[in-house]
Amino acid sequence: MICNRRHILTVSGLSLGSFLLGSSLTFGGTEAELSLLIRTIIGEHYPKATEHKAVVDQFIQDLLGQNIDSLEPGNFLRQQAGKLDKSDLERYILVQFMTSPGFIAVQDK
Amino acid sequence: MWMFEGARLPQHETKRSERQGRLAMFREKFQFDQTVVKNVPISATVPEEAKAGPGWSLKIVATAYKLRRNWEKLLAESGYTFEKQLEEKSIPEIADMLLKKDLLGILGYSDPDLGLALSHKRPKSFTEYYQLFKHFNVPEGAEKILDDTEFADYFVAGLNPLMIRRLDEIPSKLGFDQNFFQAHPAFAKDDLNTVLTDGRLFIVDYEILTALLPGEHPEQKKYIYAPIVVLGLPNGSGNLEVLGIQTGQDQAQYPMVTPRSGPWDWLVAKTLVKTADINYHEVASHLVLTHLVLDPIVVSTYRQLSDAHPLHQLLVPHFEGTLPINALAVRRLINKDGKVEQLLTAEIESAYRVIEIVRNSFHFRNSFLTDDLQRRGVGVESLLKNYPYRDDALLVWGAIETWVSDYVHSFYASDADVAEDTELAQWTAEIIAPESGRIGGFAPNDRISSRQILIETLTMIIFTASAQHAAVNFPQGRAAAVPYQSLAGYAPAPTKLGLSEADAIEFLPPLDRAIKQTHTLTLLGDTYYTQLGGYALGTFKDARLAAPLWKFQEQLRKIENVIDRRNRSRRTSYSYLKPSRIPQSINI
Repeated sequence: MICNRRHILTVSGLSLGSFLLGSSLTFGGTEAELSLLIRTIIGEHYPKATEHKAVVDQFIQDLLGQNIDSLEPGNFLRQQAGKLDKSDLERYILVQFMTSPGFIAVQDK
Repeated sequence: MWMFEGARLPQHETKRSERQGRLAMFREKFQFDQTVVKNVPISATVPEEAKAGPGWSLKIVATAYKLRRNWEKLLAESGYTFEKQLEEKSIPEIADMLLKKDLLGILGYSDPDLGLALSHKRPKSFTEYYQLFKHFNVPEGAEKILDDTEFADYFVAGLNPLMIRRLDEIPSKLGFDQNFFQAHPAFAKDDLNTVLTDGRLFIVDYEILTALLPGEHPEQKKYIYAPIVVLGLPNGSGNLEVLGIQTGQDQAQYPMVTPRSGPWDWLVAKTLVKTADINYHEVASHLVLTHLVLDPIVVSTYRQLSDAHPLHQLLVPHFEGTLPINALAVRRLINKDGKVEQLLTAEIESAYRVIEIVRNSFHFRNSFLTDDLQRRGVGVESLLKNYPYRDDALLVWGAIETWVSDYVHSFYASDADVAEDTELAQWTAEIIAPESGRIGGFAPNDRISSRQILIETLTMIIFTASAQHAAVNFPQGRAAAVPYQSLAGYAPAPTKLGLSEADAIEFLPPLDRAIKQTHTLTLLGDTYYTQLGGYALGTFKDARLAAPLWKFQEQLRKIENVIDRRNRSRRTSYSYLKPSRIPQSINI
């Protein structure tokens, strides 16, 4: 599970949490925060992420710079990052990362 | 990816017993199986050496993700309901499938069979079929169902540009005469006999499809179509015009429909043709004549050509992913009640019989590109000047032939070297033999006896694995749009004219099959892996090959530019044989 400020709100106040769970606020954080979120998702599900830091760095840079053949429309990333339920975001990040040229190159070695 | 040591012919081998030992090991691993479809050999297993690099499955995963998202949006936005629910998986489960490259699991999750539609069983309009594209766009050109120019060019630049042939006389089964002919404005002052004599009349005849028996959707019947299309070149033009479509083989029963018939009659006639064409295409042009012809050649290459053999090293990059995708096709496509039977018209047993007939009547050398064009009367010397598939394919064939020729001459100093190559002789014999490869006409007198014959053989193999498969595979993306090209017909071929829009929609599939068509053909048409001429670093150790390989790659770059230039003046752009869009191998 990804923990961020909104996640803390859900556990600290049920009614607010229930409201926020279904909300679709666009992620209002900085690019660095978004980058950290993506890195956390990859790290959580791809144990070797720490061994391939350069690959992960390049992927995040390409993704945020929209320098990638994206599987989702341009606004998807920030929209999903703004949601409390981040499962769609996690799935997208994992598939996009694991089909990226850098990840494939690592697999080829 | 494969890394080879220096290549040498068996007659120059110093470690013969070691070489023989490795070959024996490969013969154990690679075996033929002729039981899936009778008398159609495929590899019994997918040994480790024949598996594709990790990038292959990940390319498929990327397209599969789009299908999953499309399913989710369809169910959320359209209110469609099916017998089964879309199965959810947790993120750790998805991550696990991805890390294990569990392709069957990923495809089952991304594009599951939800059974029959419980609501909205049949789309009510053409628009509703186009609205099945939620997460990706309607393919470019797929909306042109009313455009007769696009329809005429389909036979020279479409999904299956391999059937059109020059007509020298009007067959008795065809109800086409001077009146029909002159009714077309472009031929108003022309004479049918003159056009025939000139070589300006062409036909596409789907008679072979009468051998199929129709399958069934659980809730409605399907129908086999075997129409005949007549096309002509106006005087002084190299561009085809469609003159008429007879909706079946017997002119007494089936009417000749023309562009001047009722609008829905004409649209239905074109729909029948597209459906017939894709049924021939999927079974013959695509499955049999690329995937299933190559499969036993892959098996024999591993079994009979040592991994130290120069031809093994040349060919294996052109076989990457072929056995895995064929195995996947056998499990998910051509099995009983698999996607082929669900989506195409025929019931699977009759499709198997047609597969067996087409595969066993295939003649390797008669299928060389120029021979095939010549036999159909549509070679470059014909009056059919606008034939994008032919013109681009000839360029690519030429580039492959030059590269192969340079390669062969690097290892075979003379024809005697070819004749003395015992592994080549065994490879040839096994590919031909009925109990193994069953490929007819593979070599003159069943022997590859000269460098020239070897070059022709290798060129045909590499062309089929790369360009020919690209030409018949990637246009499937456009056929993902059901109104553009339906995989099966759901109303009988009309015997009377006067059809309405509602009648026309009855020919198209029910919702469950329509979604399945959209997803399956998007997967096949959108997944590109590797590029012709892009051999992995270290594939060839011999320094003599560096210059020829560079020349080949440079030639492919020039062809890319030529095709771009041609497309600027062509009536219908054709990009499927641009070298940048041709994979090295059959891998999807």
